[in-house]
Amino acid sequence: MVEKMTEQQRMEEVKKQCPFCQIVEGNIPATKVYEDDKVIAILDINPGAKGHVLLMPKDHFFLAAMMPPDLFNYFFKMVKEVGQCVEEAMLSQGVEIFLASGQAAGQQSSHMMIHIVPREQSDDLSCFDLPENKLDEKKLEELRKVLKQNLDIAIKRKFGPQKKLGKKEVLQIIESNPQVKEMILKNSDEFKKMVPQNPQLQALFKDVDVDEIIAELTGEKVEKKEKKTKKKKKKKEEEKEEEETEEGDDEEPKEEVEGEGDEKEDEDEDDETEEEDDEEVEEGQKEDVDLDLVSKMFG
Amino acid sequence: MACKICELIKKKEGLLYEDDLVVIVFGDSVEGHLKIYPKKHVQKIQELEEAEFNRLFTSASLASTMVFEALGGAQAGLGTNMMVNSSTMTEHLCIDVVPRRSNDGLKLQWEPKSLSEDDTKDASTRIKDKCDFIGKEKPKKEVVEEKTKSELDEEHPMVKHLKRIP
Repeated sequence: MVEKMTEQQRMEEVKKQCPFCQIVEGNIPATKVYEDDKVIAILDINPGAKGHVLLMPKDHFFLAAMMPPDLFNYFFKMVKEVGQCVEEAMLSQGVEIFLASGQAAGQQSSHMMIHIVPREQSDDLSCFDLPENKLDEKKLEELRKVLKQNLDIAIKRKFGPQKKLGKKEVLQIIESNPQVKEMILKNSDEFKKMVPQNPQLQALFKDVDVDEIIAELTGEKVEKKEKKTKKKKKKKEEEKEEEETEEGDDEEPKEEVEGEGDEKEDEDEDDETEEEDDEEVEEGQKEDVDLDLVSKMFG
Repeated sequence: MACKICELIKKKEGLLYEDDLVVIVFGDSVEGHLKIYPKKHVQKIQELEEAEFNRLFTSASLASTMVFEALGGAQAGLGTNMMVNSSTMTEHLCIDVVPRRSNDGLKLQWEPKSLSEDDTKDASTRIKDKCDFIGKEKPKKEVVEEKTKSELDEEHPMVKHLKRIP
């Protein structure tokens, strides 16, 4: 309950800072051309052409993919409707529909929006012409394998007959999405909380137990870590044995060596535990940074 | 001249994905550039039926997420652009999904135009007037009944004059 309030309060704060949420509220003036209970369209104050419109959901979303499915479908239906209105009103040959997701793509506001820009043959909007480049064939082939599998699963699952996704299929999907897998491995509790809030994750885990999947993935990680530390210990023991045989037959020196060896062992153990602590600290820091996907996108 | 894209779809060349309504192929601007085409040959989005339109945009959105994740996602400092030229300038309607990195050399940004108040008001009025009919029936144009040639001939002053002559 307390966490929910915090999330609500966080969203209220975000809305207060967002100029487009303030436009929706009527606190900042804008030239509105269309409005209903879900979306709003305004003229862009930095237009690429006369009649350049911004269409956005009234609710605050960073990315289009974050909209719930019903709103997503409605929003893009309105892109089509408003796009046709802009074309007819401005007597243009058509419109450019442009969406930027992430700072690297030119997204300047944290409120997701689509640009609808009237287009003519003679306009100076060559910025929308994509160049042709020679690309690395090897990288493309690797990407092709991943995308072919993922696209088939994702799109056909959405539109095809509703097949239940079993544990095996869900694990397969997670394995082919390194980001998601990393998130589960590093902070499974936080991931579990995200599932009911994210429509795509909800659909993915609809017919499987989230805990089972997490146990499957994190169990795999524990085994690997144990193997790693066992390997390290074995290597060090072998090295010590080699040193002991090289020292010679003298007992006293041997004892000293053994004594030193003992101290060394203790030191090594301390080093190992320190290393583990360091790793944990690093992981803790990484967890904090990785979960904040939105701030990552905005740099 | 046959549409190159229709040919590509027919030959199933280099398809990453295909179903009954859409296909997805690689583009050639940057690594991970995807092109999502409706199978139907159209130039503008309003020429698509509702099911075709939904499939096209949902597929593009899912494809955008997939390629974003596959190339490293937010950790790699990636973004994505989705672009559609829905106009008679396009041969075959296409949604371009372009993965972006800062300093990738792509300049998909327009020079803002400085419009006069009159121009802004004019654009706003015209677009608003069109948008007012969204979800409503557009007013029907009055149909003027066309008269036949003989009816028009009858009304001609010379013909009328001739009729008055006993």
